[in-house]
Amino acid sequence: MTAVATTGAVSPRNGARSGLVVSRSYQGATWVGAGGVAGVALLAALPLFASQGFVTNLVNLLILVAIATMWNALAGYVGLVSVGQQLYIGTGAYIVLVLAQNGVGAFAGLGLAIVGSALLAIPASWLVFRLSGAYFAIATWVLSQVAMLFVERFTSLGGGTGAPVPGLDVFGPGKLLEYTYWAALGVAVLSVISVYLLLRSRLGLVLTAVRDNEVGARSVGAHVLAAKRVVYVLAAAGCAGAGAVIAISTLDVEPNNVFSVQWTAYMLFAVLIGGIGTIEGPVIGAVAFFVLQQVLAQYNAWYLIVLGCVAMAMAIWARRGVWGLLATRLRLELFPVGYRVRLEERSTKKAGGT
Amino acid sequence: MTYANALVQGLLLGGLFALFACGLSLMFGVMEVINLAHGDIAVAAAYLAVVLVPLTHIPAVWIFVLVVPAFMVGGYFGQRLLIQRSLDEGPVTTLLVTFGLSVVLENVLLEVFTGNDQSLNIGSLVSGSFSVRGVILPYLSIMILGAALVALAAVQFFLSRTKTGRMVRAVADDREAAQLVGADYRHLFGIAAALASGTVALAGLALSMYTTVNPNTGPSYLLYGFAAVVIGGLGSLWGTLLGGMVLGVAMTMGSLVDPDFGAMLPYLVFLAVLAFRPRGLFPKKAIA
Amino acid sequence: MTEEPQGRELLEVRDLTVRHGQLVALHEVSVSVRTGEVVAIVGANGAGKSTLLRTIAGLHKPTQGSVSFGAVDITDYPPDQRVRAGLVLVPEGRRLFASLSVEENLLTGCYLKRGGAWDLARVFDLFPWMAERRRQPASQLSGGQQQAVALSRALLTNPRALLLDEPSLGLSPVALQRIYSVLPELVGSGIGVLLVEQDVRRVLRVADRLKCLLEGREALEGVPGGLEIEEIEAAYFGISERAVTSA
Repeated sequence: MTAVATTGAVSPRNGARSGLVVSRSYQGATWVGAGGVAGVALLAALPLFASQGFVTNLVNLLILVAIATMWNALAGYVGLVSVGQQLYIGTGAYIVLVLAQNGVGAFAGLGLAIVGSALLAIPASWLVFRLSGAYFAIATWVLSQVAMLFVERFTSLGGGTGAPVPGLDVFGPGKLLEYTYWAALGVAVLSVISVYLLLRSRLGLVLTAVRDNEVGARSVGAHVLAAKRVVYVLAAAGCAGAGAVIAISTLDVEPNNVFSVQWTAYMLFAVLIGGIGTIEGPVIGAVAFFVLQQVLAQYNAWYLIVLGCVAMAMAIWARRGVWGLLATRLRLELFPVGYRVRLEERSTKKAGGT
Repeated sequence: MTYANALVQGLLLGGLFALFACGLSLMFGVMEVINLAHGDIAVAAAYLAVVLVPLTHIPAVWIFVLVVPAFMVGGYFGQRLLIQRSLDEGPVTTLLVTFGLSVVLENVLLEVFTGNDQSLNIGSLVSGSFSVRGVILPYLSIMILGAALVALAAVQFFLSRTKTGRMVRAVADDREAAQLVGADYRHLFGIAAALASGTVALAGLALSMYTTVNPNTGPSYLLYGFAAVVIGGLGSLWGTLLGGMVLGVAMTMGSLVDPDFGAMLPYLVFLAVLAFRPRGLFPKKAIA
Repeated sequence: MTEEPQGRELLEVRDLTVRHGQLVALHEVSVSVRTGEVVAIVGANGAGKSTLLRTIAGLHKPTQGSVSFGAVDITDYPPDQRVRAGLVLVPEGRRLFASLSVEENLLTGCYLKRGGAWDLARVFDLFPWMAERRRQPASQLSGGQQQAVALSRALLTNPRALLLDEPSLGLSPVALQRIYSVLPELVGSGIGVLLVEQDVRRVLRVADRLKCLLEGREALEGVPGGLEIEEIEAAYFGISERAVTSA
C-alpha cells in the first residue's frame, strides 16, 4: 500500500483517546497536483528552447515512460507478467504505416492505432486469459511472434525489411520533431493519468485487492477477470500509442524492431528498478533506465547487461524498487490512490509516550 | 513424394525440439519454474563449443563430452545461486529474473562474439544422407533424433531407477513430505536444473550443427520447446518427443508453402492447442 | 503405565511461541520426551497441536523458544537436518507421494541411509500385506493402509524420536487398532514418541504423560492415572475449574 500504511504510526497504547480518520488525500496533494500540471506544461514548452538532440532523447524517454507504466499496470496490479507487449507496439506502428500508405496523416493514424490495437486486444485476451503465470507470459510472446511473421508476409508492407512511413516529409525536420515530441508527451501523460484514474475508480479497489492477494480478492466476489481484461486492453492501447510514436520518430517500420522482445526488456527493467505496483515507480525507473542508457551508451550492449543484472538483483532483494525505498523513507505518495488512516488524538499525549 | 519427405523430415526434426523441451518439462514438473533463458542457455552452449573445438582439437561431434558436463555443473549452481533465490520470492519474481537472465546472456554473447552467425562444422556429415524408396534420410537428422532418444531415456532412467531420481520425483509430488524424510529440496532442485541445463546444452550443440545460431536465436527455440511441452502434455517426458514431432511436421509442411510459413505454422498449432486442448494432446499427470 | 519412565532426556521443547501472521498459534509451550516414552498432546481443533509438531519438525519458524534434541540445540535446523539427527514427523493426512509406488514411497525413507534396525524386510514383517502390494501406486491404498505406509516410511529413516500427527484421522476402528498396536514395539526399542490426538480416551491407554493445549496455551499436564477424564475434558474445551466441580 506504498506509504499509506506508515502514516500516523502513533501507538494506541499511550492511552490517548483517539479516533480513526480515513482520507484519500493528504495535505500536500494539491501542491503535488499543481506541480504536476506545471511540470507537464514545462515539458510541453520544452521544444521551444531546448536543443534538437535533447528533444530527440526525450522522445525516447517518454516512450519508455508510457510502456513501463503500461507493463506495471499489468504485472504490478493484476499479476499478469507479459513478455509480449511488443505485440501492441508492433500493431500500433503497422496501423500508422498502413493508414499513411492510404493517405491518412501519421498523427491522425496515431489515434486510430490506439483504438485499433485496443480492439485487437479483446479477442487476444480471450486466448491468453485461458492461461496463467508462465503460460500466460509465453503465450503473449508467441502471439507477438505470430503477428510479426504475419505482417512479414505482406510485400506491400516491406516484408521482412519493413517500409518507410510516407507523408512525413510535409512537416520539415524541425516541425516534425516538435510534433513527434508532443505526441510522445501526450501518450506518456495519458498513460500515467489513465492508470491513476483507473486505480481511483471503483475497479481500482479490485485491482489493489488482486495485487495484494488474488485468492482473497476472488473470495470477496471481486470481478477479477473483468478487471484484468480492462487493464490488458488499456495496456495494449498505451503500448500501441508508443508504437505509433516509434514509427513516426524513426520514420519507418521494421518488423524486427517494433516486434522485438527488447521492448519488453526495457519496460521490465525500468519497472523493476523504479518499483513495481506503484504509479511513481515506472516513471522513476524509466528516467533511471534512460540516464544509465545514456551514460553507458559508449559501451554498446553492456548497458543492457548492467541494467539486467541490477534489475534481477532488485527483483530478488529490493522488490519495491527505488521508489519503494524512497517512499518509505520520506513517507511520500505523489498519486494518492490509497486510503490513509490517521489516528487523531483527542487528549494530550502522555509525558514520555513515544 | 514431397509430402512423404516433409513428413519424415518433420518427424526427425522432432528430436531437436524434444531436446529443447525435455529440460523445460523437467523444471516445470519438479519446481513449477519456466526458465525464460532456456533457449539462450542452448545458444551459449553452442558458442562454448565453437570456442572449444579449435582449442582442444576434439571433433565437433564429440565436443558434447566437455560442454554437457560443464553446463550441468553451471545449471546446478545457477539454480542454487539465482533461480532458487527468486523462487523463494514467488513465481512472478522467477519469471522476471529468468527473463532478465535471458537478456543478459544474449547481450553478453553479442558483446563477446558479435552478432554474426556461427555454426559447428561437422564436415561431410552435414550433407550426407541415404534414401529409402525416394524418402531422403539425412545422417545428421537421424543422429540428432538418436541423441534425443538417448537423452530422454537417460533422464527417464535416472528418475525412475536411482535413489536421487526417486527423491526428485518425491519432491515434485510433495515438497514438504519429502523434507520430512530428509530431502534437501534445494539440492534436488539443483539436480533437476543440472539435467535441464545438460539436455538443453545438447540441444544447442545439435542446433548449431543443423543450422546457424546467433545471440538472438535463443528465444524462438524457447518458444518451440515450450510449445512441444504443452502439446505433449505438461510434465510428460516422452510427451515432449511427440510434441516435438508435431511441431517438426508443422514446420516442414508449412515450409512447403514458403519458409516463413514454416516458421509460423508451429506457433499456430501451439496456439490452437492452448485454445482448445490446454492440457495437451497427450496429457499425463506425474513427471517421467 | 503409571510408573515413571526410565529413559534419558531426548527431546526438549522450551517456551515455544509461533505466530502465523498476526495470529499467535502457540504461546510459550514447553514439552519434553524421554527415550522409550509416549507423550501425548490433546486438544480441540485449532488448539495448536499440529503447529507444535510442525514447528518441532522444522516446518514453521518459532518467534521465541528453543528445541533441543539429544542435548543439541536444533532450533535453527532445516527439516531435513532434523531427520538426519533422528527426529521424524509423520504428518497429518499421511502425505504419501502420489505418483510413487508403495515400495518407492517406503524407499524414500531410506534416502539418508541413517542405518539401524529398520529395513524393508522388517517393515514387511510388520505389515505383510505391503510386500504383496509394493508395486501399486500409493494413491490406490485405503486410508488405513496409507497411514501404515506413512508410518513405515518414517520408521525406515530409523528415527530416535517420532512425532505422530493425528494418526487416527479418518481411519476405521480396525485400521486404527492396527496402527496403535505397533506403538509398544517402537517404544520398547527406545524410540520416544510425541503423539497428537483429538480422541482423549484412546490417548489415555497409550500415553505415559499427557498435555492438553487450549487456544495455543498449555491448559493441563499430568500422567493418565492421575487425571480424571472430566478434568481433561474441561481443559480440552476450556471450561473453568468451578464449572467442572459444580457439574
